[in-house]
Amino acid sequence: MGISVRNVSFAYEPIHEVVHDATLTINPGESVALIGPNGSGKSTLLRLIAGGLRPNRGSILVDDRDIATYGARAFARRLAMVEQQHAVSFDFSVREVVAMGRMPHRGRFARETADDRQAIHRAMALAEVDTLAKRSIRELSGGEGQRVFLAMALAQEAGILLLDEPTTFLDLRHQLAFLSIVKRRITEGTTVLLAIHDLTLAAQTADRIAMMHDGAVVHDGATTDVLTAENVRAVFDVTVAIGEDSTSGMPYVLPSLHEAQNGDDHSSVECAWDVAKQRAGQDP
Amino acid sequence: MRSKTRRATHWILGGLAVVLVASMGAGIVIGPVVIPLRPIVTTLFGGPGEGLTAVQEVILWQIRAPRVVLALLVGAGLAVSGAAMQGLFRNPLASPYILGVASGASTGAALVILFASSFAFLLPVGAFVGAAAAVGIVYGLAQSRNRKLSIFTLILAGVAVGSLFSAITSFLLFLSSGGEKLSEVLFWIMGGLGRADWEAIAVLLPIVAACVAIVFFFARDLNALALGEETAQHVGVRPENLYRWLLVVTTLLTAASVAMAGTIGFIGLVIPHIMRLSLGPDHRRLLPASAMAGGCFLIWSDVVARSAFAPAELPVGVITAFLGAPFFLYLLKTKGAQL
Repeated sequence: MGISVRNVSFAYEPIHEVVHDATLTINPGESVALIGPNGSGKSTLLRLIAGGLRPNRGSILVDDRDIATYGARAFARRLAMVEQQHAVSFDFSVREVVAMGRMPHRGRFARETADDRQAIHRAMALAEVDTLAKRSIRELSGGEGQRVFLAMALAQEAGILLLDEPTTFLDLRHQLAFLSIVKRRITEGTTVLLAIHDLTLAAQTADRIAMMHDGAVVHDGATTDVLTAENVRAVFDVTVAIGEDSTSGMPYVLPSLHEAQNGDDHSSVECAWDVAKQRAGQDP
Repeated sequence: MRSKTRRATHWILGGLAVVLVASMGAGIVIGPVVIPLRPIVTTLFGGPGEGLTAVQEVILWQIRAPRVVLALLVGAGLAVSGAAMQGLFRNPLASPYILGVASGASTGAALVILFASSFAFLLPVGAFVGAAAAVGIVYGLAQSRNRKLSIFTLILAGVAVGSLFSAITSFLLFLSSGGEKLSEVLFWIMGGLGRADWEAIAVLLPIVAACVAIVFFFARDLNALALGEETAQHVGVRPENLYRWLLVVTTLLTAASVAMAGTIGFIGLVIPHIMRLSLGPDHRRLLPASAMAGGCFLIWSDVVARSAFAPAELPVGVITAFLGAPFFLYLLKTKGAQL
């Protein structure tokens, strides 16, 4: 059950492999944040899992079955995905967009059933877009729009939810609004794989962190084990301090603009991350 | 305007159907020779009074009726093809002619008129072959190494190949050194329903019916595609499938319509827009509405084309543009943001 990526490699162009021998297992009900620099292969890996791309080598199982063996609609009933941004070409209403999440559940010419209506209603309430139902999807703000597409994915009622940097273009308030909805789904048992750039929000949202570098998953484990200053430096090539909020106990990542400019001299932050590392070691 | 209730939608669709049937009746009755209703009713259903004269019968059943049916088929075909192309390319500027169908057909028709004018039956064949050749070249160019179709390349190739075929047509016209054949080609390009007969309809009807049915079959998938290829895929639609089927089907639909009636402009672009503005973008309603509205529009345009300067006949493409363009501009001005 869940997602199992086994030694998967993929190249858009024959020479350069964007995903290289990646392995990742996500158990049912687990939530994993996928982090890594631009070009490390996060989006491509998500696309491979969602079936939009076919791996050149390796295999991907969803609910213990190779994804290549699923029919398109059967697969969409198990796995839903929200993209980084959406460009809609016509004036569909918010309700119409969310209703499209029900497409995998009913035949081409079938009418909306009571089940469908219920699922649509529930999804819109969960994603807090029920008040927007009649608005055109194209006149919403970025934050509202992303929540509509989250609602569409929720209406699919799939056990697995993939999110490809869904908050990249949102301001902080909308990032938090979006992720708190995701967090609630996680608590209620949805399996979630979330690619995200903000390391602090990654740590706060998911149970586990997988770090990608040059197309491979190089670190995978508990948030405090993976999100260390050494790992971040090795993978992102930046200097950060990792601390812990004294009241909530949540980890945070503090990037250093000064250090990024001065390259080699890390001394001032060095002690900060040593402290963080020790703390991480002490209370896992 | 956006999310019409189901009931309002049904009223509009039902209203369109009624108007369509009425238009067909009107298209048969109205013309340079006005045929009174009573004798028609008498001939059809029996009853008191005189029936139709023999001349009137010929005008009705051999001239007007096939013409009205052809207008319905071509109008519906072009409008459905335009709606599908706009959905497929996710672009409101797309029309049935975007892939070079019209230019290819014109070249084919010009070749037949200029060099094989004694074989009139070849005209639709030539136009169809020309259209198929143009689109075939466009598809060939847009096919990339990994056999995936690039929509962007497709549109650019369509523009380029269209220009090339237009140039060939112009060159052919230059060679023809004026005269009757030149004006015949120009008339063909502007479009007209003057060649309508029951044989043409026997050929066109099955093609239009089958193609329109296939496009309807993919209506829901076109809705999903409007949210983006990736998103469509996440709800179980395979965009490659959609492209493969609909590009072929809409091309066939357009080429067959153009082969019978010339390159009638504006219907494929404007009718889907008008229907989208009044019914919303859901293709399950948009496509049948476009089919009916396209049919109505061309029937009435043809009525004007053959009556306005009778006994001379205007090319119907002139009328569709004259009626369509101002109305479209009005929509653009008042509701432009929603297009």
